Amino acid sequence: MTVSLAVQTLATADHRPAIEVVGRLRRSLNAELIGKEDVVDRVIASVLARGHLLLEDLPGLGKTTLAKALAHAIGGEFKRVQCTPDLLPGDITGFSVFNQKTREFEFIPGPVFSDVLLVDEINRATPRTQSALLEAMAERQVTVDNQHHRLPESFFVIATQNPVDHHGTHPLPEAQLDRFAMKLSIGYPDATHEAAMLEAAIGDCCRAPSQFTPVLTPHLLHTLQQDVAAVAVHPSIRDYLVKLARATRSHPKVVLGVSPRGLLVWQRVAQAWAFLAGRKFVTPDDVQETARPVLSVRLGVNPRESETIIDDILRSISVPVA
Amino acid sequence: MRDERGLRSWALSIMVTCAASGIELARDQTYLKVLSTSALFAIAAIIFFPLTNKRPARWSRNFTIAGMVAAGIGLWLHLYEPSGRISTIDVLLLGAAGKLMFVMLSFSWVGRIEWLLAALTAFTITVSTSSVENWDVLIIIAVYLSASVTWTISRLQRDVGFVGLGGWLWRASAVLVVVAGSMLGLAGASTNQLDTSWGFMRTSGGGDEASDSARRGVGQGRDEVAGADAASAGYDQTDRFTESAKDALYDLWVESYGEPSKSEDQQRMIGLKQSEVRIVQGSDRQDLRSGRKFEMRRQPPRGNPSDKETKHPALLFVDGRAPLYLRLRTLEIFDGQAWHESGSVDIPASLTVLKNDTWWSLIDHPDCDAFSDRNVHQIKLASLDTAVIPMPPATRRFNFGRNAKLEFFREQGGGLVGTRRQSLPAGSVWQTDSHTFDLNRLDQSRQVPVSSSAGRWVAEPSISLGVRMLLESTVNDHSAGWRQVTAVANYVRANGQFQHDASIDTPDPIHTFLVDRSAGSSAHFAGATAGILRSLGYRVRLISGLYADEKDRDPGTDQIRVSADDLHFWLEVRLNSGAWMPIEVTPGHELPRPRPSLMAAIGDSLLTIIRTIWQHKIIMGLMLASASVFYFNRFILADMVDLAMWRLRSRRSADQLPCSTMRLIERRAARRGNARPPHETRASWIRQLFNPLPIADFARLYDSAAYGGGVQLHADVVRVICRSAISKSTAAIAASLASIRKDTE
Repeated sequence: MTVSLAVQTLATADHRPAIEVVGRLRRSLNAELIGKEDVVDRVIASVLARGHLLLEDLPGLGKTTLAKALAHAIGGEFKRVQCTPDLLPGDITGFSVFNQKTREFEFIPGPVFSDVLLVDEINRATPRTQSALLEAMAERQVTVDNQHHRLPESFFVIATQNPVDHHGTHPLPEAQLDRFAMKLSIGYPDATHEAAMLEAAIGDCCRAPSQFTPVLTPHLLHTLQQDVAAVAVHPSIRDYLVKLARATRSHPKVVLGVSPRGLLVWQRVAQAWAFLAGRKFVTPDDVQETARPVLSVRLGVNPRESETIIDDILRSISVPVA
Repeated sequence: MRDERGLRSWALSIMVTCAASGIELARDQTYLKVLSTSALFAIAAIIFFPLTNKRPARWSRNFTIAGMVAAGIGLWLHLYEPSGRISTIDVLLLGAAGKLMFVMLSFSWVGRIEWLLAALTAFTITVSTSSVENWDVLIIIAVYLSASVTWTISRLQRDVGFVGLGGWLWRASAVLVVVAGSMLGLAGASTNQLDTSWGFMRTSGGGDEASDSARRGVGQGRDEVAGADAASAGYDQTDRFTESAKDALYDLWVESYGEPSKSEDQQRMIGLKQSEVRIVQGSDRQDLRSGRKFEMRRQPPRGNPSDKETKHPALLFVDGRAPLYLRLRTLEIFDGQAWHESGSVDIPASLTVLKNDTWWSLIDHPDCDAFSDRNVHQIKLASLDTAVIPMPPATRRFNFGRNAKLEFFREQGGGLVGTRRQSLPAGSVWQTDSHTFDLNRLDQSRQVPVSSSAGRWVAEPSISLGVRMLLESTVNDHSAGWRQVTAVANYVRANGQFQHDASIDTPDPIHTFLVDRSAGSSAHFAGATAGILRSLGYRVRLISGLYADEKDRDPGTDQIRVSADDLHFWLEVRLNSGAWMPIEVTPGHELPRPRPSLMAAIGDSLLTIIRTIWQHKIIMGLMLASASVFYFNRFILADMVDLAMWRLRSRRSADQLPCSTMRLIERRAARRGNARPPHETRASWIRQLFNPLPIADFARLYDSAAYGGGVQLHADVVRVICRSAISKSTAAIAASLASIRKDTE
C-alpha cells in the first residue's frame, strides 16, 4: 500500500544503514538463541544503551550461549570469568608482578580488559571480588596499585546468576545492581522452538567459537551508541519518566527506589528501544516496555513481587498524551 | 449538458425570484425585505459561482424546481387573496421559498462556498423561526430544516461513519430533534416574536436611533408632538399618528401577532417629521428617572395621556412589603348617612419606650388571635400635610428617631398617634413594626366581633328598608359573629360596582350604592359595609388612609410611591378582646397576607408548576419529546459535533491532525464504554481496539506528531491515513459495542 510505504519511509529514511546493522545483529543472536526474539531485542537495547546486563535464570537456558554469541557478534575481544568463592579481585582486574629482567613491577591486565566480559555465576564470588567490578562497570576504568587503567569504550559486562541455588552464593549489593542497565530472564523456549533446537543440533557436534561471524566492530558499535544517545525525548516523556521514578521512591513496598543514575539508564534504554523500533524519538510505549527489565534490577523489593509492584507503579501514573 | 441545464435553471430561478419580488415591490412598497434578502443571496451566488470549479449537479436542478414551485405558491396566495390585502404569510412564504431555492443550490456544490451559503442559510432560518408562529409556515420551515439537517449529517458521515446505530433511525431522530427544537423556539418566542426581525423593518424617517431629534418613546421625552393632529410618517401608539391610509407592514405584523416589546433604543428609532416637532423643556428628569415604564401594548386613544407623576406628587414613600394600609383618620360616628370623626384628644399619647431604645410601643395594644407574622416598614414623608403619623393597623411599635420624646407625640383618638406640631415636616422618616392578619384563624378564634343586638337590625342608625330586604337572607342565614360579618362584607364586595373616582350625591348613599347599583369608590364600599354592620349592632369604624400598592413599586429604588391616587377607605370591627380587626371590601384591594409557611410555599410552588405545565401541555410535551430524543441519541449527537469539529480542524493543519484524530477516536470509544485507561499508552490501546484491523500507519503518525515534533508527510497522505483510522475505528468501536451488548444479554 502506497500510504503504508510512505509512513515506513518516513520512519526509517534517516538511519536505514544503522537499522540494517542492528538487523544483522538481531539475526545473528536469534540464530543462537532460538525463539527468544524479545530477549534478544532487550539485550541489543542494553548494548546500544551502553548498559551492562544481568541475566538471571535457571541453568541450561542459554545465558552463557547468549553472552558468548553477543560477544562474538560484536566482534571485539571477549573474555570470561567463572566466579567461584575463592576468586580474588585481582583475578578480574589484573595484578602487578615483579619483572626480574626489568627490575620493575609490571601490570598484568585481567579479563576485565576486554570488549565483552562474561561474568558467569557472579553471585558465587565474594562481595569483595564483586566490588572489583564496580569501578569498571561505572567508569570503564580500573585502579590497581594507584594506577588507573582505561578500559575499551565498548566495554560491556554480561553477568549471569542462578536464582535457585543459594548455597554458597553472595547476593549482589544494591550498589552493584545499580550498575546494571537491566536484568533479564530468558525463560524456557516453547515446544516448537525446542524441537527446532534439537533438529539444529543433529550433526553439529562441536562448533568452534571461530565459526561465529562478527557483524559489528567496536567502532561501529560506538557509532550506534552515539546515534542512540541522539534519539529525541519529548519533554512530556521526560516528565513521565520523572514521575515514574518518584513513584518508585514513594511506593510502600519499595525499600529503595530508582536512583538518578538509574533514571538516566532508563532513559537511555528507552532511547535504544525506540532506535530498535526505527524511530528517532521515544514514546511512552518505549518507557513502559523497558520498565520491567530496568526496574527489576534496581528496586529493593522481593523478587517474587517485583513484577506486580512495577505494574502498580506504571498504573499509578497517567501516560502523557497530546 | 447536465451542468448546463443546472446552470440554466439556477439562473432562471434567480430571475423568477427577483421578478416576484419586483412585482411585490411595485404593488406596495412593503416587500423590501423579501427583495433585499433574495438579492443578497443572488449576489452572493453570482460572486462566488466563478470561484468554484464545480457546476450545480442534477439534483440541484430538482431542488431549484422545488424552490420555484414554492415561490409560485407564494405568488398565487398573494395575487388571489380575496381581500386584496397583503398577508404576512405571503411574505414569509415567498421569502422562505426564495431562500430554500438558494440553500438547495448550495447543497450540491462541493467546496467552501457551500459552507458559506449554509451559514447564511442558518442565519435566515434563525430570523424566520423567531419571527413567526403560524403552523403553516412552521411546516415549511420544518421541511427546510429537515433537508438541511439531513444534508449536514450526510456530509459529516461521509467516509467516516458514525459510531452506534446504523440506518435511518438515528437520522430521523436527529431531524426530529431539530424540528421539535425549532417548534419550541417558536412557541417560546410568541411574545417577542418580532424582536429579531425588528432590524429588518423600515423606519418612518425623522432620523435614526442616534439622532437627537428622534423621540424617546411614545408621549415621552423632550421632542414632544405639537398639537393633537400631529402626524407621524410611521407607526405609533395611536392611529392618529399614521399618515398613510395604507397599512404599513408593521401594522400587519402587529395586527397578526401583537405589539412587540422593544428596548428604549429601538423605541427611539421611531422618528417624527421635524416640522411637527417642537421642543418641550423641563421633562428630562422624568425621562431619566429609573424604572420609568413604557406601555408597550397597543392601547386605545386615551386623549391626553394621564401622567400620574405630574398630576399627583408623591405623598410618601414606603420601603417594605406590600400592600400596606396606612391609617390617617378614624371615623367612628355614623348618622345613618355619613361618617364623622370623634375629634382629637390633646393629651400625650399612651406610649412607652424601652431604655436606650428608640422604639415606641403603644401601651393599650390588645392582642388578637388573627395576628400573624410581623413586618417592618420604613416610611418617608414627601408632601403629605398631616399631623397624624401614618401607621398600618395592628402596629406593635414604631420608631421615630432618636430625638423624639414622649412630649413630641399626642393621642389622636381611634388608636392614631399624632404629633404636637402642626404637621410632620417633609422628609420625616419613621419605621413601623406591625402584624399581618391571618384570616384563616378567625373561624377558630375566641375573639369575635360582638353584636349588641345578636346580629339583628337595630333602630339606630337607620338603614333603609331596601337595603335591609336586600341583605335579608345574608343576615338571617348567619349567626352573629365572624360568619355574619364576613357574609355582609362578601355581599358588598360581590354586588358593588367599583369606580375609582365615583361620587354619590344622594341623601342615602348606602341605598343608592347597593339598591340602585350606582358605582362607588372605596369610601362607598367601606362606608356601606360599616353602616350595615353598625345597624346590626357591631362596633365598627371607617378608616381613611393610604393604600401602598405593589404595582407602584419603583424597581430602581425598590420603594413604593404613594400619591393622592392611593387614598383609600376600609373599615375596622372591634373584637371582644378590644382589638380592632381591619376588613377590606373594595374590589382590587386586599389585606396583606401572612407569609406562607415553608411547606405551604412548597405546596404552592408545586401546584403552580403543575398548573403551568398543564397550561402549556403541548409545549411541555414537545420539550419532553425533544429531551427524550436528545437523551437517547446523545452519543450520536455528540459524535456529530465531534466529527464536525474534527473536519474543521483537518482543513487547517496536517501536523496536529493525527493527535486530534486520536483524541476523537478516544472520545468515541469512551462514549461507548471502551475508554482508555490513563496508564495505558494510546498506541497500545488503539492496537487492542483495532485488532485485527491494521492500524500501524496511524499509530506511527500519532507517535510522530505527539512525541516526534511533527509529521513529515504530505498533508493529503496524512488526511487519508487519519480518515481511514476514523473509518476503521467506527467499525471497531461498533464491533466492541456489539460484543459488550452480547455479553450483557
